Amino acid sequence: MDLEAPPPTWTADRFGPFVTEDATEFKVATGAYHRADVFQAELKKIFYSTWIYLGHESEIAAPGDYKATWIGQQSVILVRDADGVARAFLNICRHRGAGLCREEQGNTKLFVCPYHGWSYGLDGRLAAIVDRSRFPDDFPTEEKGLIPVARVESYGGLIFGSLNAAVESLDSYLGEAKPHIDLWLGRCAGGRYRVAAPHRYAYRANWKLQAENVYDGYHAHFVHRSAYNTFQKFDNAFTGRQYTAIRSIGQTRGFPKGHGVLQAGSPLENKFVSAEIRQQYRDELERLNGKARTDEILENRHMLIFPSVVIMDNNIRVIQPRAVNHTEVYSYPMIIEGAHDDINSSRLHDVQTRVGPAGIIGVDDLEVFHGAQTAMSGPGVESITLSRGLHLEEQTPSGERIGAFTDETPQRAFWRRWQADMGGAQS
Amino acid sequence: MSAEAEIAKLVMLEARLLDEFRLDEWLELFSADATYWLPIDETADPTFTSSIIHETRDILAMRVEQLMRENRHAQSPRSEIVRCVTNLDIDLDGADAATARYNLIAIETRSGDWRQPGLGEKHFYVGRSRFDFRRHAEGWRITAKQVVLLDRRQPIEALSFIL
Ligand code: FES
Ligand SMILES: [Fe+2]
Repeated sequence: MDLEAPPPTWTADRFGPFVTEDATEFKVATGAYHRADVFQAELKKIFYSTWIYLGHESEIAAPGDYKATWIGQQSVILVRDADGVARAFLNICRHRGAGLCREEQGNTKLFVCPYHGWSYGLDGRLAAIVDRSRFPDDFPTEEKGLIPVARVESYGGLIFGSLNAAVESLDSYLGEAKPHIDLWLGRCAGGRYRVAAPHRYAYRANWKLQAENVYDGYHAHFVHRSAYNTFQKFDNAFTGRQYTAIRSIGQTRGFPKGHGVLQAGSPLENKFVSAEIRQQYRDELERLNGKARTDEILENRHMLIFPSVVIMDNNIRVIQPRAVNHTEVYSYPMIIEGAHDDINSSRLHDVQTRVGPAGIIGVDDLEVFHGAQTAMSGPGVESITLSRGLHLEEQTPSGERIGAFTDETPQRAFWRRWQADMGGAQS
Repeated sequence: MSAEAEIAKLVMLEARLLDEFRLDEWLELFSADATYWLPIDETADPTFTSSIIHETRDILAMRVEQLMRENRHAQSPRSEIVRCVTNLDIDLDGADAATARYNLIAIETRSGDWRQPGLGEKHFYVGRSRFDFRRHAEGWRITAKQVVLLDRRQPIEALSFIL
């Protein structure tokens, strides 16, 4: 039996559809995590078809600022042009295909190809060809600009791009996630976010294992008990929270567009900001928003925008698939311009020490991903189950589902969307 | 022993205590106000700039606790690590302060079922290290440890031990 043979179609291979659901169970076929053909299809049907996060406005604050990033396996340049417009282009020279931009970020007036010196303006137009005279007079120079990412739109400073010109508007795509993004923006207390340099880490397993993990309220007390027990011994220095095996407050949400949210029902705090400074910050938020909304703004909240960007209390995490079993994550701490230095330092150190590349918490998740990838790639195990809270979650008229903090509600929203995208066209 | 020889011995002892997972003794080498820094940008202020690790002794004590007595998943089973300390260069600053610079090569391998990804990989950590020392009543203590890793701007895979 050849387990790696490509299936005749996406939706009718020997496992049947990858995602199956009835009243008793929600299952995902393990092939979705380890099959190379599935990974190739994901690139095409998800990463090259929908909205992918490219960067934050503060990363390209001034004209000429650029950053190199990725849409799936395509290298992309995000740049602010001379008129202040955020643009994105494929990182490839139109002459003979050399890679143009080889830095992760910088500022420039022109992108000059290292191979034969063709140069491009910030608006992507071909600015000059070295020794133009040896090309035909009517060589179509105006068609040889950088290839734009078909759509670039932003919401709340978050810039997304899509290679699919026919994709729905970003506004409609974000849909029910927008009020949650607005709450996250509310933490700026009238100021703005500025990204710090990313924490970068990698693991040898599928990208979706990280996606499923970021709003998983069920795992924390098990995988992370070594960290939580340690926090308790040290006067609860991190998170300021009492831990019980199953958290009874908080919620999970899953949206029809595939996005999902974990809400803890209380703030994420640590002991590194004094009570006085914390109160000043809270007072300012209350002055701007009132008390009830301030509570919502400060609630510990993790949100995944399908498929691969995560907005957390203090950081934005970008999940970057490199191969079916190799993933990189860039986690950008978000500094609040105008906030007290202690608040910003604490935001940065919180994400660094808890979930950075050497995080007291985060690295234990990676170890689980490695084990899961190994086990799921072998024969004999056809599916995993994401059924926690399936029969208990509430559904609103818009299709939003709401579960308990420890339910697998957001993961199911992710996989329903994933199956819809993957099954949409059969190859 | 000359001050220089004492410092050289301490540098070697620090590496050996880490290699042997004697982390409680390792922590004792640090002064109460010590900092431990694995920068991403060694020219920037780590208060507001991302680092791999930038911690005071209090937080290091938490790392030690988690590794020694809380059975951390990412170190179960434990890594075996060999640290090579080379190009050691010691500068004395008066009688009570000193700086040591050296190149570090740390090679990590996991134990357990090494055929499994995550348990099977070897990781190489190469960097330029710097210690600042101060002489206390009890002897020399480390006041700052810094390791500028060669790969500090690239994704790191599962740094779950103390480098
Ligand atoms: S490939 Fe870019 S100028 Fe030739
Ligand atoms: Fe986790």
